[in-house]
Amino acid sequence: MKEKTVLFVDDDGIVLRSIARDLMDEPYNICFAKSGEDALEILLQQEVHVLVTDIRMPGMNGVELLKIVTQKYPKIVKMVLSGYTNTSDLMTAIYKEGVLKFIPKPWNLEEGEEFRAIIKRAIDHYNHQIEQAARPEAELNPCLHHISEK
Amino acid sequence: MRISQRLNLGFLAIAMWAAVVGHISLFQLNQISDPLSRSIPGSLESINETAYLEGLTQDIRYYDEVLTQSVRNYAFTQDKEWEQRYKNAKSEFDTVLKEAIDKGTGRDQGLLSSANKAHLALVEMENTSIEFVNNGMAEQAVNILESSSYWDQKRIHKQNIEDYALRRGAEYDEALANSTRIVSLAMKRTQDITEYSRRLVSIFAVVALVLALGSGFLIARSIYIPLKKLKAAAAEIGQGNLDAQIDIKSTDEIGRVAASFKKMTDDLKRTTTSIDNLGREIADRKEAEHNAKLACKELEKANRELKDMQSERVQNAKLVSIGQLAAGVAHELNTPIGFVASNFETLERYVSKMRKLLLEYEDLIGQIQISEKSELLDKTSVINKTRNSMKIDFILEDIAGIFNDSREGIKRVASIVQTLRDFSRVDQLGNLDTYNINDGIKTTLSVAMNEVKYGIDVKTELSDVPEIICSAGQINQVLLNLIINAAQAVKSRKSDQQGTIEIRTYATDYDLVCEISDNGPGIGPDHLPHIFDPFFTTKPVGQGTGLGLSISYDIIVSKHNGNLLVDSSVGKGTKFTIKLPLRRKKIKNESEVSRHERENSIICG
Repeated sequence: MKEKTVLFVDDDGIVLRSIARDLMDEPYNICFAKSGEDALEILLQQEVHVLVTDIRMPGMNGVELLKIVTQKYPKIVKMVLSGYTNTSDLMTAIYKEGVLKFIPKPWNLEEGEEFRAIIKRAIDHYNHQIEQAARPEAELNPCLHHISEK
Repeated sequence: MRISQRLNLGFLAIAMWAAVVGHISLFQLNQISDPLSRSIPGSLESINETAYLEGLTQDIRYYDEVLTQSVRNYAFTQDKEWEQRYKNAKSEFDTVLKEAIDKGTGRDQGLLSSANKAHLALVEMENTSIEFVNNGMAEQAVNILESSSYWDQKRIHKQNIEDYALRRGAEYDEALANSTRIVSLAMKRTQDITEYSRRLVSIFAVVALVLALGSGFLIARSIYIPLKKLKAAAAEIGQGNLDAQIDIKSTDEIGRVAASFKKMTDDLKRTTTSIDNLGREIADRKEAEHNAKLACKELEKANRELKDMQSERVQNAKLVSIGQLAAGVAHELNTPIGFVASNFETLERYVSKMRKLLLEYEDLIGQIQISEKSELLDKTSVINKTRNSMKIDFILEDIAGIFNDSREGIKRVASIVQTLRDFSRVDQLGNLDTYNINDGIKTTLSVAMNEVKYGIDVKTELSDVPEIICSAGQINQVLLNLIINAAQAVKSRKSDQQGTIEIRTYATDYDLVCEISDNGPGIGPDHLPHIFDPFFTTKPVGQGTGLGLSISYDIIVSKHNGNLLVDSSVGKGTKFTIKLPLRRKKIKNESEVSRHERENSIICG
């Protein structure tokens, strides 16, 4: 399968660098944008499969970016990486824009799923989504779908 | 009927009566003047006429005598003067006689013409006599005049004239008598009428008097009786009987006065009733006041309890705001901790890779003495492959980056913690610090950074202001409150315009002033008077305590003798102004604080 690309958006360069280090050995491409506007530019230039964005950023904020991405690139799997959890706007956006997961900062300290595992799962989610879209007959015949999985 | 109308009617009756009387008097006067003007002049004229004729008669007799004497004297004296006299008298006589004949009646004319006939005969003889005299024959002349024929004619003439004169005299007397009778009749009549009029006038006068008295009495009665009733009623009302009835049904002025009086009485009654009610009300109020006093005491007690509770709540609110602050600061901490942790993990991986590689190198070094050269070379190439696959070159380079980034992260954490410590310097009332508000603003802005960092342009214009003695922690709390409010206001507005918060500091002669203004939506005039009230909030339930500004007010106004002013206009923004006295009197104690009036310092914009 062709390599997938994950785009990270955060206004803090140190955050992006730490993520780059963390995901250095992972089997997918990673790219970075320091603002929502930069992210949209990158989306025009290359295919992106998973988007991970911060919420509070100067200029376009994360929620606005998520809305545009949902509209223009509905296939992209969206995730949020943010230190802020308690605004209702954010919660609404997560629900409405179909955000796959909210990753709270700090992301590598919390108990539970590792950061890399989360990204991996997002890529799997994307692949599964594409597979389902490509084989509509499987949807019609659950038996066939069951067999093909085996 | 009105009194004025009644009076008018009375006067009209009297006037009419006077008119009737006047008219009758006039009629009577006519009765008097009619005979006077008609019968009396007639009688007077007949007197005149008869008198004239009488005069003529006298003249005839006179001139006849003059003729006789003149001619005789001429005959005897031959004096020419007598001739002349005779001629004069003759023409006079002729004129008078002619007139008498013309004016005379049938019988008179008969007498006179007989007299004239005799006269003519006489004249003829007398002329003859005069001729004789003139011819110097005086004797003949006297003879003619002495002749019997002359005297016969003279006698006839005289007889006729005398008869005529008698007739005239009788006629004159008759006319005079007639006239006298008429005048006396008229006089008697006048007297009668005058008497009659006098009687009439006196009767009329009496009737008029009776009429005037009667109508006067009636009118007076119609005024007096209701007035008497009114007076009685007034006296009765005066004695307190407000139910006194006034039995006046007329529609005249008195009736109206009575109606007004009645209305007044009714009003008085009502007023009295309301006064009674008022009295009762006053009594009630007194009781209510007493109750209110009791209630007030209870309220005071409740108030004390509430105050205790309030300070508890204020304490809670402080905890809440500290909690909010902590949450905000925690968010601020999340990012550096996040990347430091991530870098730490990466570093861990790097170290484990390097350790693995190091072990390989150690193994290689251990094998140098016991292994073949070709074996060693193989091993070296395996190690190099591993090293490349591990991206050791990159790792070695990146380790410096990790340390730099982590150091930065740790610095950020340390800075945040330091700010927090600066910000919440010991918050006890007695603890006063030397405080520079510009430093306070900088610290507070750092703490509030997570609120104001994005999308808001914070402009500061901080003048070189003197330091003041105050409770730094408390002032910082106010600054934080106002800055966060401003940030939230700016964010809540719908416009695309760049949100700005402007912070200015400057000093006047007495005050240190700090202005914090935003271009948010502003505060509506219905909210503005309440913004300093405890628990007043426009934020959704659970998002604001409604105590932020209340506590700020308490800190600035009550605890620091300063002033906290707000100036806001909807759609333009809000400006809060903190004024702190440069010289501090003393810290107010709690009881003074509670008495402080806070409305004075609110300025609505």
